[in-house]
Amino acid sequence: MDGMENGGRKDTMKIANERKLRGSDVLLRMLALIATLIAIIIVNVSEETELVPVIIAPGLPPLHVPATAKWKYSSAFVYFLVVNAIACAYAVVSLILSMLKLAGTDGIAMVVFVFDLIMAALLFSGNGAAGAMGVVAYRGNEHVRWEKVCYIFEKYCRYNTAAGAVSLVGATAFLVLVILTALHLRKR
Amino acid sequence: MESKEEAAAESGKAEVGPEMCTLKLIFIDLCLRILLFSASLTAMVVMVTSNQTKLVQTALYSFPVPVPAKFNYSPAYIYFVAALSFSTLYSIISGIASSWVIVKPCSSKQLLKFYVILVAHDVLMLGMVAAATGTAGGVAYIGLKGNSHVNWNKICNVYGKFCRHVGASVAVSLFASFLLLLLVFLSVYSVYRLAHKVVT
Repeated sequence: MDGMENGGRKDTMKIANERKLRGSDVLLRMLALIATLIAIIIVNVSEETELVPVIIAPGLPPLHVPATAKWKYSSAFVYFLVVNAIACAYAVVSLILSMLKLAGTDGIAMVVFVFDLIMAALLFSGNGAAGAMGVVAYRGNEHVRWEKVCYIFEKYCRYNTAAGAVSLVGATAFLVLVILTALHLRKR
Repeated sequence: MESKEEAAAESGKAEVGPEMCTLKLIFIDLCLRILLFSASLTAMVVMVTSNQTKLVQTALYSFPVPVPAKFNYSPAYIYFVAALSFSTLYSIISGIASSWVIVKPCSSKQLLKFYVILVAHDVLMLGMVAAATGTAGGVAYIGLKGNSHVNWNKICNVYGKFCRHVGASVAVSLFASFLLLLLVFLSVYSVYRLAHKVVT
């Protein structure tokens, strides 16, 4: 009984392997790869230097001092960038795996699935952190006297909003991949 | 635990085959959901009860005035509380669904459909709770360390209890997102088991 079942499974595995290259899988991985890559590039080029008026003494006219806004200055954006880089690297690896039809074997498929899940969670948390920073930068917080900065660094804020949106697309791609894996496993 | 499963299997007139193993998996699933319920409820309650009032010297007055710190002063914490209350509600509903499957065993085809729906919703909740953790963590980190580049002062040297509550609640919600990760993995593993009809 046991041997028969094993043999049967092997046969079905072979057939499953042959029609393994799922178009939706490859497309979604490509989408995630491109989205996270674009997010990384946008965050990297979002650096902006502006002249900020600084009042030294009440009587004197304000002094204009150049100030730079960079992703490096905010730990939330550092986290966002790192997570996107990890997801991007993983997307490349998993894309290669599914292109080579290696993900057909059950062991690798399970590992890929677990990493898809972890990537989705990491990307969502990175997006949350960057989004929270964006909201504080855009609206400020009067209660703890955190001033808004987006009216000075307009380009920086615009770029980072775009990066967050694009990275959210990548996160959603990983999320859909997980659901598709479940659907695919059911049909087999 | 073993006898309980057997009793459940027998009382439900379970079919022979993979039912026993599936029942065990559903039982683990239910335990994780109860854990998820308590974790998200704890995180929510700890965050809601974090308000603290302190005497702070402000520029407006020459004497220190009481200034409260509350979670609803920051949109990030409001989102956190909303997401975790939703997760609490979801864990109740999905827990009831899971126990329904234990009480009334159905055919494996129906079970597969149930699991796929469960995976879809679990993943959505995972995204939501992970985003909430990231959001609250990001703001809490600025509260702890401040950001000298844009002149955002740290507040944790003033509001000790508030920061402790926020930190604990973020840690518990991290645990909750880890639980959701396990739940998704467990559900997909069950789908795999059922689809392959592996009997152990």
